[in-house]
Amino acid sequence: MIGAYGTWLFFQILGINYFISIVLSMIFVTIVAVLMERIFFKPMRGYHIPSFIMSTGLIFVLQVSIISLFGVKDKSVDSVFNGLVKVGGVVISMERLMIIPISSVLIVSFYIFLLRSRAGRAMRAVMQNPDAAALVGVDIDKICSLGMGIGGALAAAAGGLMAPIFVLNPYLGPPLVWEGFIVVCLGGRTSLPGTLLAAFIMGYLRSFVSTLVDPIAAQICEAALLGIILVFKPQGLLGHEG
Amino acid sequence: MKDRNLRTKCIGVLAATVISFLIPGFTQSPYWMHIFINIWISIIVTASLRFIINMGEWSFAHVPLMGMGAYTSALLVMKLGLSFWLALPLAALITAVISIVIYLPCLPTTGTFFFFSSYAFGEVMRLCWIKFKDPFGGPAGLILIPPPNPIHIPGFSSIKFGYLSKIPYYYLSLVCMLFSLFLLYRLEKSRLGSIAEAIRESNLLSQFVGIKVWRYKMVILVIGSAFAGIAGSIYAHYTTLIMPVDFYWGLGVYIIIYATVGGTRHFAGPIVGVILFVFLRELLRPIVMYVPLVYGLILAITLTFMPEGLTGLTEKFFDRSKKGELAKAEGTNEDATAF
Amino acid sequence: MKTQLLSNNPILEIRNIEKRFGGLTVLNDLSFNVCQGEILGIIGPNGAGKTTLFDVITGRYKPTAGTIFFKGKDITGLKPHKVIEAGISRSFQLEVLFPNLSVLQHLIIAYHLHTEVSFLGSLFGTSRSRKKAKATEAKAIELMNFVGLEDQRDKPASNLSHGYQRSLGIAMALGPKPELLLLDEPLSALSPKRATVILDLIRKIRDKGVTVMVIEHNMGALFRICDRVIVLSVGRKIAEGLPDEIKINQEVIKAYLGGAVDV
Repeated sequence: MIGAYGTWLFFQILGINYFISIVLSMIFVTIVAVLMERIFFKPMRGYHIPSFIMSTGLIFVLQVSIISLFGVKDKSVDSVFNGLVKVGGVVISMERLMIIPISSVLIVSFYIFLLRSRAGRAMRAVMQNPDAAALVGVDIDKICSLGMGIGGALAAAAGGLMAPIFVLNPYLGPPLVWEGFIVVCLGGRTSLPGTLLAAFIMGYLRSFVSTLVDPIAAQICEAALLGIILVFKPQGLLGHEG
Repeated sequence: MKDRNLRTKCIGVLAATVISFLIPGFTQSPYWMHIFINIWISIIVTASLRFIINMGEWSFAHVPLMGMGAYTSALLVMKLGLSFWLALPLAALITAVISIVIYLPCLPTTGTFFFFSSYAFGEVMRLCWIKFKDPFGGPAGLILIPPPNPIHIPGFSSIKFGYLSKIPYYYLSLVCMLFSLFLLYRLEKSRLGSIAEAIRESNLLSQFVGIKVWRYKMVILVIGSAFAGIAGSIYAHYTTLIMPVDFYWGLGVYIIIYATVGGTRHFAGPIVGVILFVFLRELLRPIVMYVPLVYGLILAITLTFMPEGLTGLTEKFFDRSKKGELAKAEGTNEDATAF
Repeated sequence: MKTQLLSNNPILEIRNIEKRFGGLTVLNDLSFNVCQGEILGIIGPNGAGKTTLFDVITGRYKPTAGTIFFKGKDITGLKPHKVIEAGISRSFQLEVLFPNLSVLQHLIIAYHLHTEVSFLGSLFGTSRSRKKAKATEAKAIELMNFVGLEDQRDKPASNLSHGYQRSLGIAMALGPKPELLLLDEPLSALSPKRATVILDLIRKIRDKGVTVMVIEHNMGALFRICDRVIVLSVGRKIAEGLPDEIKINQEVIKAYLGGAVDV
C-alpha cells in the first residue's frame, strides 16, 4: 500500500517517470521496512505470534499515517500502457498484461538471488536454523534486515504496478496480503513452484465461484481452503517440513 | 504473608465492585454510561480470550464468535419471539456449540497455525453473515433489535430498557461482567485451570502425565466462546444494530491489544487493558483519526519493553525473564501430537 | 544390588518391531522381553534407535511393523494417554518440564490421572473438593520427598539446577503410578555425585515394585544397578544378557567403533 502511494506521489503528483517512481518508492519502503525491523521486530525474533500482533499494530500506524498525510479518499494513477489486447479470446488491457513480464523479471531475479548469491544462501540458512547459521558466521541482524528490506521492496513494487489498475486507498494492504498469505500457505512456504501452482488454483477458484455464485462465496471458499490446508497439510501442497 | 496479600486483594476487589455499582450515582450522562457499558462488555470478551490464551493458544475466532452470540440472540428475539432474558443464556449456549464446529478442525494446529486457522474458520462464519441475507441480513446486518424486556419488581415499578435511559443497560452489563469474571476466575483456580497451565507450559509433558490434551483444549475453547456469546448478546440488544463489519479482524486485533498490553499473565490484565484503552480513546476524541496509530504504537512499545504487559510489571516474586514471557505468549514449540 | 530371583514373567514383549521414517529404518526387526521387577539397561552407540524405541512403546510414534504386548495386552500404536493409562510412563532425554510452574505444581499435575476432584466441585470450591485437593497435594509432597526435591518446592522449574530438573522429570513420570517406567538417559551430564543420587532413586523405584527400563551411555554407572542389558546398534538388537557378559561381548565392542567398552 505504501508502495502504491509512493508511486502515486512520485508519478501522479510530481510527474516523475513511472518506472523511476516505482523504484523511488521501493527505496523509500525498503528504508521504512528495515527501520521497523531493527526497532520493532528484532526483540520478537523467533516468536511468531507476538511478531504478528506487532505487525498488525504497525499496520494501524501506517494506515493512519497515510490518512493523515493524504486523506481517506481514493486516489488514482494514470495508465502508462494504453490500449487493449486480445489474448486467446479475452480482451485485456495492456496495462494488466504488462504486469506479467515485469513481475516475472522481479520474481526471477529474486529467485536467482536466493539460490545463487551468498546473501541468498545465508538467508536460507537462517530460515532453516538460525543458531547454526550464527555459528558459521552469518550476521543474523543483517540478514533479517535484508529479508525485511527485500520483502518491503517487492511489496512496494507490487503496489506500484497495481496503482494504475486499482483505486488507491489506505486500506488496500490487508486484503491483498491475506490473499497472498493464502496462496503461500496453500502452495507451500518452502516451494516457489508451489506458490505459482497455488496462485493458479486460487485464480481459477475465485473466477469460477464468483461467476457461479458470487464474490462473497468465493471469499468463503478461499478462507475455508486456507483452514483446510493449515489443518491437513500445513506445509502446503508442494512444500516440505522445515 | 500470603494471607495478607489475599486479604488486600479481596478488599480491593470488593471496593472496586462497590464503586462500580455507585458510578451512576455520580454521573448519569449518556456519554459516560456508554463508555462504561463499552468497558464492561469489552472486559467480558477480553477476559474470556485471556482464559483461552492461558492454555497457550491465541484464537482469532473469538471476536467472530462474539458476533455469533450477537446474531443468535438478536435472531432468537426477533424471529422466535423469545424474551431477551431467555435469549441471552441460549445465545451463549448456541455460540458454545457453534464454536465446537469452528474449533474442531483447528485442534491439530498449534501456535501461529492455530492463530491463522482459527481466523480462517471464523472468517468463513463471518462471510456467511454477509452472504446470507436471510436470516443474517447480509452486509447491512440486523437493525431494530429489540431491547431487553422490562424487569418487573413486585411492589415497585418495573425496570424498562429502552432509549430513555442507559442506566438499566449499565447495570445489566455490569452484572453480567461481574458474573463472567467470577466464573472465569473460579475456572482458572479450579483443576481445569491447572490443566490449562500445564498444556500451555508443555503440550508434550501434559500428554505424558495422562492429560487428554485435545479434549481439554476443546473444553476451554468452548467455555471461552460461551462468554464471548454472552458479551455479543448484550452488545446486540444494547446497540440494536449489528453488522458483519462490527466483528471484522480489526476488532479482534484491538481485543488482543487490550489483553497484551494489560498483561496475559494475570487475571486482572484484560481489565486493566480495556479500561486503559477505552479511556485513552476518549482522551483522543479530538484526534479520533489517530486512535489506531496510538494503539499500534503503544502495542509496539509494550511488546518491546515490557512484554508481560502492565500487570506483569507488578510481578515481584519470580524472576520472569523476558524470554519466558514471550515463550508463554508463543506457546511451546515442541513437535508433539496434539491429540 | 541385583536381585537374585527375577520372576520370569514378561511384563513387556517387543515383537519384531520396525520403525521407518521415510527411507530411514530406525528400528529393524527388534524383539525382546522385559521381565517384571527388573531393571533393564538399554545401551548402544548414538543413532541406534534407543529413544525411538521408547517413543514407539509409549505411543508417540506408531511402529511401521511389529507388535508390543504389555501385561498380555496388545498396546501397539496406542495413543500416549492410553499407554499411560495402561501403566507405562517415561521421562525424556532433554528436559521436558513446565518452565514457569513450581515443583509442587508439577507434582500435583503429575497425579492428574489419579486425582478425584470433580470439576464442578473445584469450580465452586466446595469443602469436599478442597479436601480432595489437599489430599492430592499431600501425595505430591510425598512424591517430592521421595525424589529428594523438598527444598525446591516453590521454585519454578526453569530455575532449577540440572540435577534437580532431572529428578523432577523422573518424578513426573511417577505421577501416573506406572508399572513400567522408561527412563531416557537419566544420568547424562550429571556429576558423579548427582548420578549416584539418581541411581539410588532408580533402585528405590524398583524396590517399590516398578519395572524400569533405562537408556544410558554411562555404562559404568548403569551396570551397577541393572539386572540385564540389551544392546542396540543401527536399529537391531546385537546382544542381550547380564552386564558381565555384555562387558566382554565382541559384537558390542565392535559396535562402539572398536573402542573398549567403557566401564
